[in-house]
Amino acid sequence: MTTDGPASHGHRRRRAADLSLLAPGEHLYALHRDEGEQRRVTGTFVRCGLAAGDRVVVAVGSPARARDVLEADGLVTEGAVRSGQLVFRDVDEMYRSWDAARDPAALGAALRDGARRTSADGFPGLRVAAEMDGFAAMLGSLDALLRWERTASVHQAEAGITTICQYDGRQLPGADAALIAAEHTAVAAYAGPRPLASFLAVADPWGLRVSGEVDLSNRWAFVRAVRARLAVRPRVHLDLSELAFLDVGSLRSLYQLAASLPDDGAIVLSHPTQAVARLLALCRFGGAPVEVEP
Amino acid sequence: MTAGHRPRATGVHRAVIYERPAQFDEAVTAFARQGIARGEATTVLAVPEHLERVRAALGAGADAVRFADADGIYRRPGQVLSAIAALLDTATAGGRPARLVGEQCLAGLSPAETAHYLRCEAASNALYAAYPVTVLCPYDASALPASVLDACRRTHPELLEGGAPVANAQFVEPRRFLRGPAGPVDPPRGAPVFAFTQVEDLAAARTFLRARATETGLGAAALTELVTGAGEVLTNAVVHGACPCQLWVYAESGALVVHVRDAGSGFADPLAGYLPPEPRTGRGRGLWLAHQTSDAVELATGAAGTDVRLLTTLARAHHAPER
Repeated sequence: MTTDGPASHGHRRRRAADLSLLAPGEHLYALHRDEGEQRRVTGTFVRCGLAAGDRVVVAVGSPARARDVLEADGLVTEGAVRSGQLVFRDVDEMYRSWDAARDPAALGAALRDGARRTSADGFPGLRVAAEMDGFAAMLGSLDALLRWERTASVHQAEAGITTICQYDGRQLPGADAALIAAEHTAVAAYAGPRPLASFLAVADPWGLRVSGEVDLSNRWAFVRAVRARLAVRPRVHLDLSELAFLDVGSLRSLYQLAASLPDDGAIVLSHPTQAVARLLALCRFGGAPVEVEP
Repeated sequence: MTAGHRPRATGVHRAVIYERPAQFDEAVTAFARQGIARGEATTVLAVPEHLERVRAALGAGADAVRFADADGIYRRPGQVLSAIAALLDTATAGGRPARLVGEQCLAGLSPAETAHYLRCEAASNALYAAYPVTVLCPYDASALPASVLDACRRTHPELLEGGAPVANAQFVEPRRFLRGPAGPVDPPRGAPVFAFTQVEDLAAARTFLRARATETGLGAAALTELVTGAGEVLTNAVVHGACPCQLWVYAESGALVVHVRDAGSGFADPLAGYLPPEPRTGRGRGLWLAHQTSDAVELATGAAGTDVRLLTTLARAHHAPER
């Protein structure tokens, strides 16, 4: 018996994608051999998605159980569920309602609609973790499943939705697994480093809780998350009470975002740590509605 | 800084090297009186005892003069030019000409800090060039070492001699002064090194920096101050320098040194970091931030690459939690 990771056999053609560095539109495949593996993959996917500020939908056979498991791992916070950033859905119900198996156009429309609602709710992107086994059984044949995955790849790339399709290796012959993996853009690798920063959505006051460190390596993710909140409401609060480092270029990016806001718009920097407060005191960019709340 | 509406946008930077207190009083008082007579916004920055003497000598004229304690403004050399720029922005608002006495306060500075202060004197010529200001820097020949007086002569385009300003033949163009003869210094043998090549390594470089600085005895507040500027120097090395980049953190002559080396050929402009950045664009803020948050900044380019060394004086870092 091999001791490789869950996504390692039967599909060497596929590259491995680090779950902490996913591009929008990535359609991932992950194979697990037991619940522990599934839990690690889902957990990493959820943690990294939330940290990036994206909405994360966990679509599984038993949403309540999935929530309990993630909660036990410290990944579900009441705030993330309340702000609508983390959503649990019944996968069979979700896919059945799309009628996607028989109608690829309906799948495309549903995905585009999901992407649209995600932006309207102030999230920069949508990520879906889907437990596929029940759905695969419902489709009835391997060919139908492969067709569905192929269609999903196209529509998700168009809509910029990142998904991870999780399959139980115990229920899947190796040859089938290889064919299914081939319909995905990458195979999940779950050894990614912890994200340097996280951008969690906050509904009231409207904004984000930024924690960790923001520098040139993750500035794009920071700007992306702030921009998504500003797109819904032009006055955004950034809770910086757990931000240990912010570089001057990222601060300047905030001023650039603020400079193009309407008259009632502003970026409010709340509770900066000593490190960030010092940077703010030294750098007065001016010319943009950036407010500081101690 | 737009200077189009100002009567004269090329400042004068003059030094007076004096032997006796009476010569100081005479030179500074005459300089201030001239400013008052011409309606210039006149400021005297000096150590407290000198301020009192000048105030008394000016008599009623003192009311038109702003007096400021040099100790507060000169404590960290890198902050001097920022403080003076802010002062001149206010004084010359609306195009009013200004006049400034800038008595440096070198007592208690380490040799590295003094050398850095003198580099700031050279760079200040570029700052004054943008304001309608006349600046007089008094240097005490009875107290200052010959090396400082020598640097004074190389950094001031005018000298006050026998009560009259004269062009100074020993003046060296600031960029040439800043390039200087000094090459890179190697870190102490065996000092732990952190090598980095890409922006994804910056967080780990900061972690290394924090751990080493704490081991070397830097407190939490001083560490926050240090990382604010040093973080930018690390970023600059990856973005503007050439890889591989290296970081060492060690103690040297009572200072904590953050030593960043990249394989590149150095800064295009040796004035980089000395002058306050343009407020709106904010370009060039990284090295300027390092000047604000360190007691001395040393740049050097040689065969091994380009070095930036940021020094934090340990004794002062313990006594002054907030600056």
